[in-house]
Amino acid sequence: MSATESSSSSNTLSWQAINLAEVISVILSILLVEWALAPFAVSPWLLGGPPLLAFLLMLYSHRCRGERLQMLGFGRRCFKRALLLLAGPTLLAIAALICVSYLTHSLHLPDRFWARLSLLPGWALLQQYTLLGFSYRRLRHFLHAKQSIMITAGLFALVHAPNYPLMILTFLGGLIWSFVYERAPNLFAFAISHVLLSATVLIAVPEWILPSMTVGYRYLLYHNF
Amino acid sequence: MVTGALVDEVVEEPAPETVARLVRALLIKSLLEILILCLVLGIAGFKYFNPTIRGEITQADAVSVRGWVANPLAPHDPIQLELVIDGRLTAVVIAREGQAEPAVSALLRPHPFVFSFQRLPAGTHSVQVYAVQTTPGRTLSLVPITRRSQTFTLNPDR
Repeated sequence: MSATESSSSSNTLSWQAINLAEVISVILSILLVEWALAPFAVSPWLLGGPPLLAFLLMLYSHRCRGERLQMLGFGRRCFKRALLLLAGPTLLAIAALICVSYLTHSLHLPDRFWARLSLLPGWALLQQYTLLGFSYRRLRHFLHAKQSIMITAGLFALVHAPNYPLMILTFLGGLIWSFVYERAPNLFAFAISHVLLSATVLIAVPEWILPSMTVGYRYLLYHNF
Repeated sequence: MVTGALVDEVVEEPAPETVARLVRALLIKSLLEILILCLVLGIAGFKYFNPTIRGEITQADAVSVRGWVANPLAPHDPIQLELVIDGRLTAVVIAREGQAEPAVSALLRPHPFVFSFQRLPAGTHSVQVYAVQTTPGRTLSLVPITRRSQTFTLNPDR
């Protein structure tokens, strides 16, 4: 192997390592808050530190790589196509959830539903950006589409641990969203799908299946085993 | 159907300086997160594990236990104390601000206490006094006023 080939191979390897390290770093920030910092009821400013650092890292990473908002899925590009691709699975999932709620008589309006609903669009867009606009894109730089889809869905489920009903739902959601993002990357369409599904889960899933949307240490704190 | 073309469009070999900048950013982020973790653990440790209530058992005999207790976070508030002898709750008193032994600084606002009880049988006994932590912002808990329980032996002839 020539010196040039060796250097190129080493560069590729380090680039793959950087992509992986970025994804791990962002996921660790979320897990750090959910598991290590949440048990200590200290200032919310400190709890917001790691997610803020993760957000800054993501922005810096895009800047270093010359990625524009349009590329990530923040523009109008692929909006209709993404909506079209997402409509089927989203409506099917909503119908299934409503069906379950009808059969189990569990249709209900949870506490602070409207307040939560008003925050949901921004929260959903942020989650979709982190999941797809950042993590999926980084994984996709060195993995095949199928592997990236599986890992992205797995990571999305992981950050919802140990709320296992929510983990299952987020894993399925992660699979569909990553699959569609591969074909039509538009984060606004994904946020709409996310909001509709989350709102349906909130009102339709029986409390004995999904008692709360809490994750991490707080889930353990408020549930008896 | 377009497959993999949209997401994959910016994959290209990076310049070495881009890699270096990203590595630096990752290291700085990790370092700051470790600092935040240390800060949170430090604050939580001080908040939850620093008892704040402190005191001393100055005398323990067959019929009484004396000492003082102080709570710097609420120096004038009465402190509820529970006496545990040989692992059993024996008495409860409320200690109020007063004059303790001269050796105790008045700045601590000591609350002297005396527990009187029926004569203990001969043998070795362990005594500990617990304060009920009711300071606002703190978890309601029982806090031992000294690190170790005090042990003393009563002879049969006394």
